[in-house]
Amino acid sequence: VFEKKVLICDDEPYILESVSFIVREEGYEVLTANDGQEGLNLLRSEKPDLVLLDVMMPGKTGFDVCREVKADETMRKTYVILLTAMGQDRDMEDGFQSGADEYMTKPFSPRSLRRRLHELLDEST
Amino acid sequence: MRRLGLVGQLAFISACILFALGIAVTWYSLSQLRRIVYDESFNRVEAQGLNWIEANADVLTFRNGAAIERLVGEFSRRDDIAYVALADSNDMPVAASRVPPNLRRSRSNVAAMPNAAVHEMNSREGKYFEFDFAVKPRGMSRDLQTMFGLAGGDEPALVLRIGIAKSDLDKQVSALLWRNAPLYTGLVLLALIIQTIFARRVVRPIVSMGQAARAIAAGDLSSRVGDGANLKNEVGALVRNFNNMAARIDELHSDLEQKVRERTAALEAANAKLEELNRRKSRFLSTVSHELRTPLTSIKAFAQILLDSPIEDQHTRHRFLNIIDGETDRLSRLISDLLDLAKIDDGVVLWRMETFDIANLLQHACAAIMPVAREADIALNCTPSSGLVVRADQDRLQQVVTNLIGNALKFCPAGADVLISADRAPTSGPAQRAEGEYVVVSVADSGPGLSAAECGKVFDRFFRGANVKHGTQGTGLGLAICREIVQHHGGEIWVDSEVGCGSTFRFTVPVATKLAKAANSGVEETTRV
Repeated sequence: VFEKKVLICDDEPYILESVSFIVREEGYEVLTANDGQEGLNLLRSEKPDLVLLDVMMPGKTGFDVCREVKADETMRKTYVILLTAMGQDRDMEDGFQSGADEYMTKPFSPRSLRRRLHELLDEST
Repeated sequence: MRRLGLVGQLAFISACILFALGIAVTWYSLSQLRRIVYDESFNRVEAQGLNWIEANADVLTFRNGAAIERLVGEFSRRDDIAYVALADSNDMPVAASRVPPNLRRSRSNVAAMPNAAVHEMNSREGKYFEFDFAVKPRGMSRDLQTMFGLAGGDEPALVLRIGIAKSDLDKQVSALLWRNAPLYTGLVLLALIIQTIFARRVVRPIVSMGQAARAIAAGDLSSRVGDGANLKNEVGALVRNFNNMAARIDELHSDLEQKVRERTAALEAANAKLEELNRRKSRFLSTVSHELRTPLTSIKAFAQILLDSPIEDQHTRHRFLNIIDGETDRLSRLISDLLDLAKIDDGVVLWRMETFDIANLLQHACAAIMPVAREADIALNCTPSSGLVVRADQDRLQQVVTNLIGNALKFCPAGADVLISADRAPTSGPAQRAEGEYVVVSVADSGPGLSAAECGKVFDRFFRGANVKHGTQGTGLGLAICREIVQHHGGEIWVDSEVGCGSTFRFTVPVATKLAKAANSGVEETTRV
């Protein structure tokens, strides 16, 4: 079976570790990046099917990365889930404005993350 | 009248007064002149009459009819004589020349003359004054008189009547009057001219003052009255007072404007400060929420993983539980740091100010952290000079020192050195916030160092350097709390560093004064409000 690729981009190592564990448990291939630029590089080279993006990262923010993904013809089909500690309505608006497919606030529920992953990735096949 | 303006009004009033005065003067002059002319004429006519009687006494005495006719005719043709008539004692006409018809006496004895009675006569041709002379026979004895059949006694033998035209006299009077008319007119004109010139001098400043007042009302506060300020009269004083008033208004107004400008600027500055404060607060709040959510996220994620996933590997389970434990600690540290900062910000911290030797405090702090240093294989060298007595809150100051040493241990690789020392300093630091004697405490490490940009921000809340890995113990608030504590004591905290050459954190504390040392019997508690 050809595994779907999920990129996880977060500057918090424990969050990276926990999300990786969850995604891997659901049977997807996991790529990780510690900041926005590294994430973009992996997006271009590996073409993952979905990216879980933290927003407040040093350098490029999650919003920046999301905009670049959605503006790029080759990456547009990649699902973007913003995973952020900024839980205000305005932040969520900014998130969808930048083109995100899903917006989850931290602390997120791993169960609903698992559900959304399947909904997005399994439906498209 | 109102249209004439003040000058015109004054001229008009003056002209009226002068006109009335002229009439009065003319009327008075007329009566005076009339009296003079009449008196003079009356005297002259009386003298002529007497002379004529005297000169023609003989003819009159002997009543030579033809001669009398001729004499009377000649007499009546003199310049100022209108008519002459001669009558006898029975009032029967003897001779008459140029007597106007219907002559009747209208008033008797209009003037008191010694030798003649003067009556006013009326006729169709006008009014006349008639002089009645009694002609007494002379140079003839009573007998002779009787012999010639002349009336005897003192009764007048004849009555000579000389008439003069009243209109002739009045003509003389009016001629005299008209001779002075140009003089009067000239004087009146001169008076009016002088009056107008003076009025103009007075009125012009008032007009200027009106214009200036209008200009001031319209907003031109620099407007002044140029005319009449040097006049020595009331108008001059008025102009000077007006100008003083205008200058004062100008001054007050510009003062006021200046004050308003200053006040507005101050308010704008205060407002900008408040807005900046508000922005900072809201940024801080969103940062705080982010910082609090991050450890919570890990805790929640790992807890649910442990609940949902059958993890056989004991090592992995243990690791996840350890992370939850560590993140819980991090969360509680963060909360207590935030509370610390909030308390310092709000001024509700109790500062227990004591006087003590800072060397003891440094030694104590080093001893407490030594096990951590040993485990990290980092050498701690504590070499403070002794006898540096400061006045400070010991616990808080130790918190600062411990934090600085802890940071050094956290970022230095194994085998590095950390040097802790204390010396006297002449100022409070690079910013020279205060004067006086200070103790400077320095914590120098041989770690990775900081860039210049990082040096400027390292004391800001939630600032993290490039070398700081997230998810480690730090809360991002340690140095911010250090700065608050040091600044509360009147000192400064700063860092000298270069990438790759280690960092030296320094802070200053004021040296205790003798007074403070003496007062150290008890513990003084101060609250910053």
